[in-house]
Amino acid sequence: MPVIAVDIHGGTKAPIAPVAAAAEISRTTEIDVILVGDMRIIDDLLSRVPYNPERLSTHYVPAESTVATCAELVRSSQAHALVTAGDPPTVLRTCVNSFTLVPGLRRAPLAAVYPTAPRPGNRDPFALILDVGATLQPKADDLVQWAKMGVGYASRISKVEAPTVGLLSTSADPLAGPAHVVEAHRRLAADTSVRFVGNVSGLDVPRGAADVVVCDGFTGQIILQLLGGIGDSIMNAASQAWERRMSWRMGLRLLEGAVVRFHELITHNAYGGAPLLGFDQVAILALQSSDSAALQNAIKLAAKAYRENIPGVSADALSVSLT
Amino acid sequence: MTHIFRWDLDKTYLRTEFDTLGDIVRTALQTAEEKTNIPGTATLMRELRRTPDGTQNRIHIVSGSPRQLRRVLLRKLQLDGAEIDSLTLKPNLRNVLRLRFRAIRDQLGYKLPTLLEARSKVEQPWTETCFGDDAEMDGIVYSLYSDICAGRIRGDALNRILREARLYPDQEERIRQCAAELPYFDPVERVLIHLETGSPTSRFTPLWPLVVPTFNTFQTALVLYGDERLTAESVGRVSQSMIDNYGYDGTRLQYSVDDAVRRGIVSARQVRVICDRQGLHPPKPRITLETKRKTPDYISLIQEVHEWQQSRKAVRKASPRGLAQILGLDRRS
Repeated sequence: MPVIAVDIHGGTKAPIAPVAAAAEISRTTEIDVILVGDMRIIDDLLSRVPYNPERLSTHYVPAESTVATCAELVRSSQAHALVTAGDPPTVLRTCVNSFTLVPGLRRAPLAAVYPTAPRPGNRDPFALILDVGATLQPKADDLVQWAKMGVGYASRISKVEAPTVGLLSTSADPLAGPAHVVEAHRRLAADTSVRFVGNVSGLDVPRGAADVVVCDGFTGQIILQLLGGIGDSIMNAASQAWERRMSWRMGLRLLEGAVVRFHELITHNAYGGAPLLGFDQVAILALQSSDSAALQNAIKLAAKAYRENIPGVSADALSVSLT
Repeated sequence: MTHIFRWDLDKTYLRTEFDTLGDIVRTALQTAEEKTNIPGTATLMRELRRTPDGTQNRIHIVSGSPRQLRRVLLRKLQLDGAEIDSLTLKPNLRNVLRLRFRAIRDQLGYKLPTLLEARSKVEQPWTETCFGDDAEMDGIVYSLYSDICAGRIRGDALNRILREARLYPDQEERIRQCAAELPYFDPVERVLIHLETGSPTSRFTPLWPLVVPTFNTFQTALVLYGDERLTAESVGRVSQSMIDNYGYDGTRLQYSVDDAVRRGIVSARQVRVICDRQGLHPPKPRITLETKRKTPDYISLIQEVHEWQQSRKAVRKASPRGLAQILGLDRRS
């Protein structure tokens, strides 16, 4: 049974959202959770929500050291994965200090899923993008390694058979972009173990041009935020349309099912969190604004990543690339 | 000395669903063999019958199930090897024929007079432990029963509470009459509420320390061990039955004992022997909760239960996120 250490002090909606999420997970799934945080806060919040004590335990530490304690619980095998909505640089630093990077890997990428148009032979509505914030200036080596780890992750977690890989650039031209992107393109194109579709542009990202999109962390984070912003704008436009004309209101009513589904796809609650790949342990970083629903999905994602042995998958993917 | 255990059945001893009409029909048609226990309750009830000095404890059941289920329920208890002294069931058919539909669901108007009448027949100063669940008002009913017996709530104070509970006049009269006749003696040592419907534990804080919410039968057994109503061997048999018959393991029991100590319903010192015997890690000592009981404000508690029941109904009826919610229209209106 997966045991997930949950940092109750991470995120803007902490500690209520993480405690509520863990309590709900304890009641509705077969995942064990350890609440890590301040004793008084945990005890107080737990008395106010329904939970299942057979699947929930507590680990009391001061609020300042919750991420490090979660990592220590994972490192010492008392938990199988950690979930936090804490400050990303702090979480990254903690994971670097507590976990071991896969041999040969220079930098661990943060991966995230985003909704795309349907892709040929793939029914998953989400594609994977990495890195989304861990490494701002990667080298070509990093991009190639991340592509391989992304393929391993997409095939295990998203169940995509032989995922395709795209390299984020401004055009399909293999020589376009900065030197490390050009070099990564050359190496990925030459690597027969990867289904490389070439460069993908910003336009191609939401069109579903690849199952796995690789980029530097700076651009990846902007892409994710942009997609979220576009989703919000569309919902805002729909909301305004509702108010302006009766005929539009009727149209929206007729499309209610589709609008609800679209909203489910674009809201980050559905994704849960971003796995930090390349370590010997599972760490899921949720958005800092995560609410209880988003954190519940992050905990489920952590359990799935543990069950699917994502650290092992990452290592396997890289040993292929290193030989 | 003989001790009395007063049990509820549905959601306390048996895993019963009656949230929907379908659930009620299914429950009514179930045979004794089809009825399922809350894990460990059959063993617990058997263990409670025994006393270390050989005297036999009394087990009385007061259930909200209709009288028509008597045969099935007695058969179920027989299958479980549970010996009982009495089984009191609710006259639901009579309530329907008298068009007293409120009485079909109401617990206070049925259980409280039943408990008081039963107590008036006990001539010895035997103490009691009561078992209920969080689905209705068991915690309040048992606590009020304790306060009435003790003489802490009688007369005008009782009348105000009964008015708030919206009982039928004859029910009120039965309660008043029993209360007037009972000698001042509080027999209720402990009330154990099984959290079957997902109530937060804070719902029972105003009734602490008489009323103790527990999440499973192992926690219930731990509290009874702390009250010296069960031996360590008996607690062992309860947990073993949960392991053998319901898929429990050491981790689930460990988490349960940790939670019980964390919430202060048992002390780390009290459960040390149990942990040693069952190969569990003894939990770290925690702060001791207030042990002095204050008479609760029953009127507020009854109002809160009504509100809580309404909110549960609303949650059950709530549709999934719809257009209005997604577009933020509900917030604007």
